[in-house]
Amino acid sequence: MQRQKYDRLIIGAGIYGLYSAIYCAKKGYSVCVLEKEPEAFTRATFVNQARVHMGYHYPRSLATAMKSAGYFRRFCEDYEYCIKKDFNQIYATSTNFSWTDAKQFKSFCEAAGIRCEEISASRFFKEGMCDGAFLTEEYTYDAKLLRDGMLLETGKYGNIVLKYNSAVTAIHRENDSYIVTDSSGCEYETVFLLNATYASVNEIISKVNPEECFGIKYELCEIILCDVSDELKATGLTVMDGPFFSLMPFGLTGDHSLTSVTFTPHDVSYDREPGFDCRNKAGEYCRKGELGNCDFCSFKPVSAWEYMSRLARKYIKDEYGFTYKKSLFSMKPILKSSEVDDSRPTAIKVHSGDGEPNFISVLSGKINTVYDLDEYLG
Amino acid sequence: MEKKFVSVVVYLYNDEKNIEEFISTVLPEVQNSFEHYEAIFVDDKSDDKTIERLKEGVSNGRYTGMISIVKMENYQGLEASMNAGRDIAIGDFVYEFDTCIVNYDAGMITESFELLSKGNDIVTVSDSKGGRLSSRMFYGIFNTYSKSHGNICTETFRIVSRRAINRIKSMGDYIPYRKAVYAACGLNTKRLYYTATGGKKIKKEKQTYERMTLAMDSFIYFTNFLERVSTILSLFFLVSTVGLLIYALVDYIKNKSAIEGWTSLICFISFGFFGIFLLLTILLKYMSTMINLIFKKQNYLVSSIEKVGHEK
Repeated sequence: MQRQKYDRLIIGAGIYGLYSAIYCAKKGYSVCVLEKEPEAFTRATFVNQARVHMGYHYPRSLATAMKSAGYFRRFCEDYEYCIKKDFNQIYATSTNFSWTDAKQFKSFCEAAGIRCEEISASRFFKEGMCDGAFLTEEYTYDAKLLRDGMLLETGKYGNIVLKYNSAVTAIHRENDSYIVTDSSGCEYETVFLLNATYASVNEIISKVNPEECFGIKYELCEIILCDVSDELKATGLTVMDGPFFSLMPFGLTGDHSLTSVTFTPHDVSYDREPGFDCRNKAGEYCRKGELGNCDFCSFKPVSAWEYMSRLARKYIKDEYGFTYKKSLFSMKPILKSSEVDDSRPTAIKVHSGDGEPNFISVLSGKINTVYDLDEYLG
Repeated sequence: MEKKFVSVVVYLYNDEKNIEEFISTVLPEVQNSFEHYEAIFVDDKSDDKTIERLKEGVSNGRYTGMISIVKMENYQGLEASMNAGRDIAIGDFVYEFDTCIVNYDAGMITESFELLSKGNDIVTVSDSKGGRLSSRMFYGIFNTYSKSHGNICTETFRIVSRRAINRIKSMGDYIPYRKAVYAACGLNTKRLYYTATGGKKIKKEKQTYERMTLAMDSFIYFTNFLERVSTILSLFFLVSTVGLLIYALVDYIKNKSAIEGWTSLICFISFGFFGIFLLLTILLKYMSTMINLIFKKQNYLVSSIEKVGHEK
C-alpha cells in the first residue's frame, strides 16, 4: 500500500487532537488525524464533568487556579456555541473532612481574582453539613455540540484528513521521519507526530521509545447522568475540598452529571499502561497497547450510584430531587506529581532531540488549557 | 434481604489479633442482610500490624461492599476517631463498633437492625455481664445526674439511623461523648443484651487515662453533677461567713469582752469572704455557660482515607 505523507500527524480526535489539527491547517500544513473510534469525541472529551474550569477546584494550587481563570475567558469566547452559562454554580465547603474551610476558600478566590459571593449554605444543604456556600462563575460545555462545531471547522480546510477506525499498531523511525502503521494496514509518513491520546498516551510513547513515559495513576471512572427536579435545573452544586461530590449541568443536554471523589474512580492502577483486571476479560477489545473504550465495553463495573447518590443525599436537602438516568465510563490518567497540591497542569513532553523529527505528547486534565499547545505546534 | 444501605464504622487500635475474626464474622452477616453496605475502618494510629491484617482480610474478593480505611493523624482516642468515621459514612443506617473484638453471636447484628426498624432510632447492644465496677459506678452517677432522660451503660456496638445522626449534628458540632449525645437527643432508644460467648472480655488498654478525662468532661458537659457540688460548696461557705458575721456582731453587743479591734477585723474578713464566695458562685455559672461555647468545633485530625476494597 502506498505511503501517505503529511506535515503533521495527530493521533487522537479528542479536543486536543482536533484543536491542533485546525491550528496547524491554518498555518498551511497538511494534517492527518488518526482516530481509533468510528467518530470523534467518544472518550475523555465527552465522558467527564463537562466543566469549563475557572480555577475554583484548585484551592491548594494558586498557580493552576490563575492559569485556568485566564484560559476560561478565551475558551468561552472561542467556543461560545457549546457553552451553557445560564445556571448558578454553587461551591460549598464541607464542615467535616475538608482540606479547605469557607474562610480559606473565600480568601483563595480573592487572591485568584475569581467571583465568589457568599450565600446561605442552608439554602441547598442540610444543617451543619457545609460551613460555607458560594455563588461562583463557572460554565459547562456540551461535548457533542463542540464536536460538531469543530468538525464543521475542520471541513473548511482542504488540508485536513480525518481517519476513523484507525488504531495505531506500530511507529518506527526511517531517516528523518516517523512511519506510523494503523490497523487498516495504511502507512503514514511525517516529520511531526503529535500524541494526543490522553489515557493511551504511554501506549503510543512505548511504540516509539519503550524507555520513556509519563508517571501516571490511572483511574477507571464513572460519571452518572441524572434527571433533576425543577428546583435544581438551573443550579450546579459542588462540595469540596476532599471526599465529596458534584452535581452540575452536563452541557446543554438538560441532564446533570453526578461525580464523587471517592466513588467515581472504580479502580486504580499505577502501572505504566492501564493495568486493570477487566482488561483481561475484555480480551481483544482492550488488548495490550490498544486501550478499548470503557464506555462501550461490556465488562465495565457495576454502577456506584448507590454510593454516590447517598453521599449527595447526605448533603443536599431532601426537597431537591435527582434520579438515575445512565452511567458513562472512561479511563482517566492523572499525573503522579500533581497529587499533593491537586493541581492538574498540562504536561507536554517533547521526546525528540535537535535535528530529529518531532514527536510530542500532551496530557491534560482540563479542556480549556488546550491553548498550552500553541507554542509547540509551530 | 433488606434494600437498605448500611455503613459499618469500626474503631481499630492495635487490633492485629482481633481484626481477622471481625472481618470474617461481621462482614458476611452484613453482606447477607443488606443489599448495599460500606465498611469504614478507623485506624487510630496503631503501631502493630493491624492495617496489614485488615488488608489481607479483605483481599480475598468475597466482600462486595466498599471498604475503606480512615487513618488518624496521631492517636486521638475512641471518641474522636469514631466521630471521624461516622462523619464520612453515607449509609441510611450506621453501625458503630467501638471495638473489633467479637464476643457475641453475629445474629445480633441483624437483630439490632430489626429492633431499629420497629420505630427506634438508636439500638445499643451490650454484654449483660460487661463493664468493670468503676464503669458501672460512673454510669450510675452519670444516669442519676444526667440532664437527659435516656440512660447509658457499657456498649459493645450500636446502630443509629440517619435521622439520629442529623439530630445530633443540629445539637452542636462537637460530640465529646457519643453515647451521652445519643441518649440526650430525645429519639427512641432500645437496648439489647447478650451473654458473652467464648469467654472473651472486651478490654481497653491505653485508654484508662483517656477514659477518665472523658468521664470528667462528660460529667461537666452532660450532667449538672459538678455544678451542683460546687454550688452547694460555695453556698455552704457563704452561709458560714454570714454566720460568723452575725456571731461577731452579737458577741460585740452582748458582752463587749472582745479585744480592741477584733470585731471590726472579723466583720471586715467576713464581708470580704462573702464577696469572694458570691463571686465564685457567679463565676461557676459563667464557666458552665462557656463550656458550651468552647466545645463548638469538631476536633479530630485525619491523615488519609484509603479505599481497599469495593464492589466490582
